[in-house]
Amino acid sequence: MWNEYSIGLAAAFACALVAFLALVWERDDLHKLLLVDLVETAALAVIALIGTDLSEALILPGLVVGIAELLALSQIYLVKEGYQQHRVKGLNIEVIMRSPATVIIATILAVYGIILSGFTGGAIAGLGIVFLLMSRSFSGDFHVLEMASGISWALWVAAFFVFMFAPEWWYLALMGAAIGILMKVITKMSLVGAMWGDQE
Amino acid sequence: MNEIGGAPLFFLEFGDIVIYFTPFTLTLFLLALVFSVFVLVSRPERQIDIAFGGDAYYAKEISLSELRFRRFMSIACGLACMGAMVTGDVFDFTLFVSLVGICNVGIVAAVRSRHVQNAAYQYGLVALAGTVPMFAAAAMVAATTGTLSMLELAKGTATVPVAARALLVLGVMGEGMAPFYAAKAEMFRAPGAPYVIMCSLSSLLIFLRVAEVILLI
Amino acid sequence: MNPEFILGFLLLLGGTIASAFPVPKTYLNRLINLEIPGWGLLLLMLSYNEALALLTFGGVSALSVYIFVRVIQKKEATG
Repeated sequence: MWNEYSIGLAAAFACALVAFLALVWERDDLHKLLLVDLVETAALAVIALIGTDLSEALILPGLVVGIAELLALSQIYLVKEGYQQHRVKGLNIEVIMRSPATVIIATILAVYGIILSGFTGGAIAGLGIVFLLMSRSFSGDFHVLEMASGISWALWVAAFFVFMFAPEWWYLALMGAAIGILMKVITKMSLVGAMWGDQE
Repeated sequence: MNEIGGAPLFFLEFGDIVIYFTPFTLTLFLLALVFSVFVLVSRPERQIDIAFGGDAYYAKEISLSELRFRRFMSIACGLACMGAMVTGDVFDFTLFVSLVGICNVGIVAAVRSRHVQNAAYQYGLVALAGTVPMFAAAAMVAATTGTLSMLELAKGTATVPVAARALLVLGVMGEGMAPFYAAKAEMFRAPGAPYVIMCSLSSLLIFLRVAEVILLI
Repeated sequence: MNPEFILGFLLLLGGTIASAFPVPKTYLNRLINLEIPGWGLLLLMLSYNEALALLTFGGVSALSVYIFVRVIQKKEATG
């Protein structure tokens, strides 16, 4: 009666229960946000237990939803507590500013993101570029980035139209959609990172 | 098919994922559509506070940028609601409900009042915690019956465990039911009538739809 | 029930308890402890050969750590 799925399900629900108990007993808002991330991990464990290709198809939107909600809630927390105006002192470490290590890390993240492609791949590649921009200062052109972001979004929507009305060209549409959403998220996150870097 | 919402009128098939229109789902869909159009064309109200002890009153103005953002969030909430009303796939339903939760937070997050933002944050935490039982329920349905399509499950050949149905209801309750916790009710103090009403309408429609889903699968 | 499955679940359970009740209860401590159930989940996905989910979760975990560090930094900086 107790096969692998049942044991796994019981363990994942036990984790979720422990995390929910800690969430109930917690008073501080930022601690609650961290605990909600823990609860999301337990939910992903339950989805991963399905074990077939379907679980991969279910985990990816679950991750996207989780990240979107975390971004929104962290922004609301900063605005509500009035911490938006706090200036974080930059570290002013010479190693970060001069050495090629930041470029290497940013390149690794960008390549990783391009291999993954799609929304999460774009987010990871964008994170690499944000890291690069935060360690050096950005003195570039915002308009080109915004134009690239808009054009790539249009490419993504066009790829979906091709999916629906001309399904024999599906491979072209798939590549177009992946590249479109990748470019869009990279450019959006680079814009965000450049602006964060300017403030701090 | 288990005819809980009436005879199906129309099926829109995207391969495996079927969108089905019965009289029940069509009514809910049209309601969400009409209200989204209302949000599109209407202007926000101005909340009026009366100074005690006299006839004086002051009105809260809503700036144009705040109006645009809240209107966009309301329309997105309406679109997500429309999608949730007619979808025939359990996981798509949970995704749409999560989207409604995020949009509800977005509708009130642009208001500058500390009290409203506090309420929006608490609601956002509960909504995020509510996605956990929802996704867990969808995963259990997929693992025990092998399919996520509501039309397949309605034929009754495979039984969905009671725990999965209970978790789905629990998740939807955490995501969008206004009477169940006070934070969502406190969000109503945000000025701007048609945008805030979208929160209430979306939770009502989702409540109706989840009742049908639970009886169907 | 291969070793990755068992180890993954042990890490998930142990990491959840460690992260839910951290001993010096600071934000940074809890954030670092959040990596442990993340590792357990990665091992679990490995035992089922879900490669794409594994890669994506690894990257998204890095992203969420970045978001949290930004919030914690802004909170603890003196404005």
